[in-house]
Amino acid sequence: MKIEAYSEKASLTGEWIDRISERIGEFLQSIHMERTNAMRIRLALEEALLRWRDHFGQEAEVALELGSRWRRPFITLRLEGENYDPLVSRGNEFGEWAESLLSGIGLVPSHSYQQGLNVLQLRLKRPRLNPALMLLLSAATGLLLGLLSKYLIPGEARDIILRTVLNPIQDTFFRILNAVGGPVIFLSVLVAVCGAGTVVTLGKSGRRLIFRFLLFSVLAAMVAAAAATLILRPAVQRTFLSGTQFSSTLDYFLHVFPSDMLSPLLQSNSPQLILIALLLGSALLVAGRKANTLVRIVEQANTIGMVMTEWVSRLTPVFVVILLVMGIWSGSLDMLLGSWRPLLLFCCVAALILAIALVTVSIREHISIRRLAGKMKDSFFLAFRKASVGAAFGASQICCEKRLGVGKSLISFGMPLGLVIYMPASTIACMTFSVYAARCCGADISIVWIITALVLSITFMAATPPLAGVGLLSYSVIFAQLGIPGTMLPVAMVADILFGFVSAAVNQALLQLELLREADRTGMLNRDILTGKP
Amino acid sequence: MLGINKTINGRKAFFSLEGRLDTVTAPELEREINESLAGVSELTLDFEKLEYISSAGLRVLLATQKLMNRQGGMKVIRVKEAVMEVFEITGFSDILSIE
Repeated sequence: MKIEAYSEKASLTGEWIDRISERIGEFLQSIHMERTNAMRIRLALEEALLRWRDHFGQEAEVALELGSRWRRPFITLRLEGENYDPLVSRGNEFGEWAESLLSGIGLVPSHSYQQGLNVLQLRLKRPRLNPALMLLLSAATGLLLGLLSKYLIPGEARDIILRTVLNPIQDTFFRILNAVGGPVIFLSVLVAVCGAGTVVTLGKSGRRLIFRFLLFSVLAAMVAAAAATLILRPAVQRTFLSGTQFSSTLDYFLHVFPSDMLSPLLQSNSPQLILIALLLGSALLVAGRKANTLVRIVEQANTIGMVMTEWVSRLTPVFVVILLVMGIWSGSLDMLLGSWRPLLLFCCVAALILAIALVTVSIREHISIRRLAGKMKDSFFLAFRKASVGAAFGASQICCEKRLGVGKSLISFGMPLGLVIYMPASTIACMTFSVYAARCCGADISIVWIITALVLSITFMAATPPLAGVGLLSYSVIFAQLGIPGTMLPVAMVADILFGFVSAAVNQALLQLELLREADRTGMLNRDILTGKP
Repeated sequence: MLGINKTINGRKAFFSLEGRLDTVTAPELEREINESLAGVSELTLDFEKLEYISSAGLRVLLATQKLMNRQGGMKVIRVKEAVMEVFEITGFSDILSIE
């Protein structure tokens, strides 16, 4: 993407401030800045200019420069005069609101004073490719590199590269995953429970939505487990649930209770971490206002966890390439090529569940399936293209409000909640692939295995942040619990990237249908909009 | 361009704004408000036709809100989506009484 450089200078009149603001708006649009973030930047810089005008008067001249350095776009404002930082309000009662506008989106403008010149600069984040596409590209690169190098590099040289370079890098990455995974899972579940509590306070509708989201995720996971076991035919223990099995199942679940509060965190024991987070979250909800400070601390810690997860997800494309090369060198190509089976099965199960939901809603709401699907198709394909429900959030909101007739108040809490905890398609994907992975590595499947896989798939899909690449983190923890070797992770990663496109679209469509049904139950449905033209 | 239609009825004032409330037009609104609000205890701002609001516009709203807190009350009605979005990201939706 080419960024056009621009510079202009004029005195601080109202016309010039508006002109600068407009030019900044056009610049932000040209670099595809998200609309609300662009609005925040415009407002904050307008406020800074107003503060300069309050201090220096409107005769003072300000120069605007827009451009990019090392692909990183920047906005610079320069004003000649005494040292005056417009980012500090100095008790200016009119602009206090502007202080947190940019910090809220992780941008920090800087003010410096050099040779009689006030320089205010805002360096923006580098425009990034769609993360899912980036992962897809890195998977393709990994495949190509792996296949080429397997035939071009002699076996002995490959062994040396594996031993001295790739294995240490892989170990480091898994250590990073392990280190970040435990706290992130713990905090995500904890915040999800606290967040659910605030929705519950919204009344019966909030409680019912949470219950239905979780119920359908469990049902979807069970259907996926049954279909995957029947069709992919993994090695199933002969005595699927014998007396000994029952005893070990009971033993497994009793050992979910930790002996102390710290060891699960130190050992990254996911089931124990999830249990502690659930219990602690419930206790915080019961404590109510008295625990508000702690809830805020937990939320802040979770924000830090999210940032760390984002860092890990930025590293992921590199590791996808490395893991795939290693996988192909060590003979995982067959498993990789065979992953079309779980992928196809996942698509069929997800399509079946979506079809059932569409038919049910169409019958109950007296609207033809064709018309209903027509209304949802734009946001469906957007989520599919971006492989992200978050990226299609705006389109999904418009679809619910303007096309399906769901009330704004229901959308305002139901949609963010659903985006976090309602992941039926992702759960189906996780279950299907876990069974396939067990089949590939010859792991025996028992009732304990299935229940563990169900619990972990549902919890991880609902608790982990919807970031591209986080799938690898989830699969690494799930596989460790299910006794699936780490050699399956490269295959899981590629499958997760491919699953991601369909999962995002189906998750979003199921959420829209669920909100539509809830709107009807609570009298928040505008039937004229629903039955109107798409 | 900003169109301002005002109706003063005893202690009630009604301002209907049309167009853009930006750095150029915000002083016009400020002037109109300052001239009209003496003795007014109930101010209504109708934003049905207001397309855009800038930082300077927000300053005028905040100053007016502070003035009306002393004199009585102020409410903003029929806010368009684009303007509402500005109120939401700046936190003005919590400060102003919006209907």
